[in-house]
Amino acid sequence: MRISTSLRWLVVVAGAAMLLAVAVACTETVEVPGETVVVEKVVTETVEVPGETVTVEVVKEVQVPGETVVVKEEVVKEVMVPGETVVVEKVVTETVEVPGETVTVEVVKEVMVPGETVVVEKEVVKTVEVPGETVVVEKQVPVEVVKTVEVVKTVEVPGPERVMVKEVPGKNYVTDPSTGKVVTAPQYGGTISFPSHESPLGTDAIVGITGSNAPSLIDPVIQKLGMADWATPRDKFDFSAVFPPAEYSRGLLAESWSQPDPLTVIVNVRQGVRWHDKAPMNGRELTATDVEFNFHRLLGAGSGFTEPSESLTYGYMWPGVKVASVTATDESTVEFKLQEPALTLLHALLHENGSFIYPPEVIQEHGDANDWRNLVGTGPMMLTEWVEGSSWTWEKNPNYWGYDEKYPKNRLPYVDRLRSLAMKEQATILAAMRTGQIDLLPWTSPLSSLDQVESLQKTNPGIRIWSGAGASIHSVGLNVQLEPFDDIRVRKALQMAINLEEINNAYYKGYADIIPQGQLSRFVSEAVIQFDDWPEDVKKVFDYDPEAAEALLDEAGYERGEDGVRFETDIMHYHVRDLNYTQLLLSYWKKIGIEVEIDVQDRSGFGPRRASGDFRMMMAGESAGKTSALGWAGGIRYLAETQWNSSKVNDPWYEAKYKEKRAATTMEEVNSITKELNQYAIEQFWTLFSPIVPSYVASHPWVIGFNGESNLGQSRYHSVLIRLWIDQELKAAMGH
Amino acid sequence: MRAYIIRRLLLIIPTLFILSILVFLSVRFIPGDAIDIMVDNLGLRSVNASFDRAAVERRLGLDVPVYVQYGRWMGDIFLHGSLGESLMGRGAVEEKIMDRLPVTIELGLMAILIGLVIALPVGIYSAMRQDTVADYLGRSIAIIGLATPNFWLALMVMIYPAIWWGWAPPLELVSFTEDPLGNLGMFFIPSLILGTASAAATMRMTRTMMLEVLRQDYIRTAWSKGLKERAVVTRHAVKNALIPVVSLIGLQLPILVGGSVIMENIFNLPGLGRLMLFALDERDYPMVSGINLFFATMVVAINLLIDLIYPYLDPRVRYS
Repeated sequence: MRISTSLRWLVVVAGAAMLLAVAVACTETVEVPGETVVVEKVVTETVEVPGETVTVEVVKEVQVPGETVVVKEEVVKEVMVPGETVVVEKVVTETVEVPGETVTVEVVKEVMVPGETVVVEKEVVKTVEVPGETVVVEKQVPVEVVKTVEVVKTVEVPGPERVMVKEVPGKNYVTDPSTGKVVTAPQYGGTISFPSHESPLGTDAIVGITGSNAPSLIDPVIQKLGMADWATPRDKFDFSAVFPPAEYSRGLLAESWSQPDPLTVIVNVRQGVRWHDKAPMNGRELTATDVEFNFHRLLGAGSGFTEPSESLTYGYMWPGVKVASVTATDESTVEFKLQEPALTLLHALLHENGSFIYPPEVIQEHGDANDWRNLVGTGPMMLTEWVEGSSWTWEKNPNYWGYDEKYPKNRLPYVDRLRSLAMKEQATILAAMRTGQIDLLPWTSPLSSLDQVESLQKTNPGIRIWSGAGASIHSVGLNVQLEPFDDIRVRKALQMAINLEEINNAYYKGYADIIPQGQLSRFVSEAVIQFDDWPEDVKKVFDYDPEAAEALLDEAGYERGEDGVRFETDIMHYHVRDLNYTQLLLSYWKKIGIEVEIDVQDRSGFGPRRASGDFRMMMAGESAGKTSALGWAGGIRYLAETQWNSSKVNDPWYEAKYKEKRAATTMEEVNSITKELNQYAIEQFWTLFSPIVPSYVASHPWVIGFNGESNLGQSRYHSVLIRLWIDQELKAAMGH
Repeated sequence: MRAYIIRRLLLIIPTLFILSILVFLSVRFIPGDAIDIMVDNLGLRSVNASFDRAAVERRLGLDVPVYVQYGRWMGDIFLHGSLGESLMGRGAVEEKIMDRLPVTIELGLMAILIGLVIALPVGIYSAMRQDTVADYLGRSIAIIGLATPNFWLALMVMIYPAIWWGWAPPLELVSFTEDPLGNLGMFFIPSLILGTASAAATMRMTRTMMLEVLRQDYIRTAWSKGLKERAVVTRHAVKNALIPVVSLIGLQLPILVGGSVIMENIFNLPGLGRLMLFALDERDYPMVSGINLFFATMVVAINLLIDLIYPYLDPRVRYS
């Protein structure tokens, strides 16, 4: 009996101890001189009113255990009001909607003087719509999300009309020249950790299949001839396209270039660039011969290379760019001779993965640079650790030659270390982000849904979210080689049966862009015809009209049978896409008498079946690309020869037009032909449009300098990271 | 005994032969193949690409019938002790297995240890106090443990503490030699989840066996001699009750291996399970077949070992 009682007590005590241990583990203790207090609450808030005001607020309440009194409060606020010197006390924007009947948009702006409570300015704008008629009471104002901004005090900054508020003594701020925003001044040190989906196999991008994902590892180590210009104003170029337009490109290992005739390009190699201080390169200077060697290796055109690299067949040199010879004419000059003129040559030389410049001595000694331990580059980081399947670490190259393009006095990189953690599971990535184990989610591991964004913002209000151009990820490819999709009336009917507005409101919570567009985004304005200018009969197809859809199907000979079904088909669903969306589409098509079965495929089934045409309908998931007319979305997808043709189009007019585009010699010509190609594809309804849904990346508030940029050119994702810095003080204040 | 060992060892040969065929063929029956995946990985702009599929197949040894590929694989195993080369350029399969094995072994051992630490005291106590509140509680918890899928539990552990308390298990592997506590800290939660699941079954088996043993005559004799409860339990009952439990631990090994695939993925542990998942995703046939064969051999070997130590645990058992 005594033993039994003791054991029971033992169990109770053990249970209590475990609970206590869990509680202790989950509570952060902060040492304050003279006493130990527990951080009860750490709140970080970031509020943005685009283009006008930015407020970053960190509120930290420290409480003594057992008491409820706030013993310490620290507030950091930064505000920028372009062109004003008054204190904005409150900005409130409200949106009220009465579906189908009345829409009222009201904007209230109150500007107050510090310490006083009198409203000195108030502006109210209202728009009211009545069914059948529109009555504008005052004037129309774009609908904005509800936002509230509070400011405590203002400081006038000389120069541009800009106001900055700060309450952290001794903290330095600078204006980001690319955005005009005021940010914490650059500082050196720290580590940026981020997740990686990939499992790289090696570090030599030129060895073919195994090198295919090497660029994700080598980017901060091995450099190319060019990159996107980081100093470019973000309202002109947002760094989402992997092939930046020529005007926003700059030399990296190439100091400059010229094209004396259509078949010759002269590249001047940058002087003073040194290889890492690591054997066998030992910090020697980069020469034109190094560049020549690398292109000879890629093309099989000299320096002992007689066969072109296998990687060439995987698109490492832009199709259509036929290089005849590469010659180093002196220590710093390389001459490229072409077999025929190519407008995309500059893209190829500056940004293609084929232009990574590897250390010749390493290649000569080991045959390739696929073993990371042998990797030597000219870049700002050195790959120093590779924990198989777990993490990759790059350390700062202390002798890096490059400077920050935005702040030219600052030598790069800012951080001491980059660390990439291999994470496949989305729940793991989110947990790591929530707990600060990773500093940001780059475009290589974006948030996959709006729910995730909302969930992250709820638990970490300070996290900054950046939305990208997005894509029509649920667009549907129709195999036009098969019945009934070879009939344009059927294709139109399928589109007319989809209620884009309803999908946007119900599925995307109103965040999607439902203005129809083709392969190229409507934002690539120089190469697309805007929706408003489309023919009326084409525009009408995107209006939800099931009756008209049924009439079209009747006309096409697909009348309802006794069971109400017109025809049965199936749709190939890619497993990473949301099955709920596909089911939503099925419900629309069922209403017009089309029965569709879902065939879920993983990538090993999906890719080959798309390539071989073994499908009727498929979740194509690619359109509205925000890239230049020279890029992928500029028409390649509907070429008969590409395996990515998700509608199996084989259209002679389109093929001929694309050939014409390849032969174009000016960008104006390219843009003009692309417009025709894009519009032709839209009007053929080879792909059913679905709303453009943005994707999101996130960063903790202590990551400074990040504006949601994706890359500095093809595979140059990490080059963005070495241009960011960590606000160490803020990071520490937030308990990380 | 020697004859028994030889017989068992000989029996392993057909077992492993059948297993090798199964692991070799099963991955090849999954739709899609390695080259499709390569093309999918590489082909973003492969328009005009003169991709020579036949050449790649030849280079990877996939251009011959499956039975020839199997024969070559077996030949490599017996003649060179090699499980083959990764199709994706990851190198020799056996080297990769050895690289990743320590993580999986550490996870498995910790899971078994945690499972036993939970299961044995609770099982014994539950049997000692049969039909009391403590017994019902222990059995209920065991049923919950058995019924709860460990992948679900792992996801919950990953998601909710991060939401509620801003806490998540450490997700970056540190070497045991560099930071022993940090290393054990990373393995603790996944081991606890795996261990809890195995503890449930072990606890129920321990309780059942203890109840059976406690009703034996020799236990009654021990009581009648006036021995204290602790002496009766520890010296006489537990030792005999745990013999079948040892077998159960051997049987749990495949479950632990399966669990490690999930745990390693969720908790970012670079072990064999995670490697297999990557390899499966890429249809890296030699890697998947090699890891599966390795796991299978390990399970067979450990079960043989347990059978062989049985006579030492229970003198009544005699192999002839």
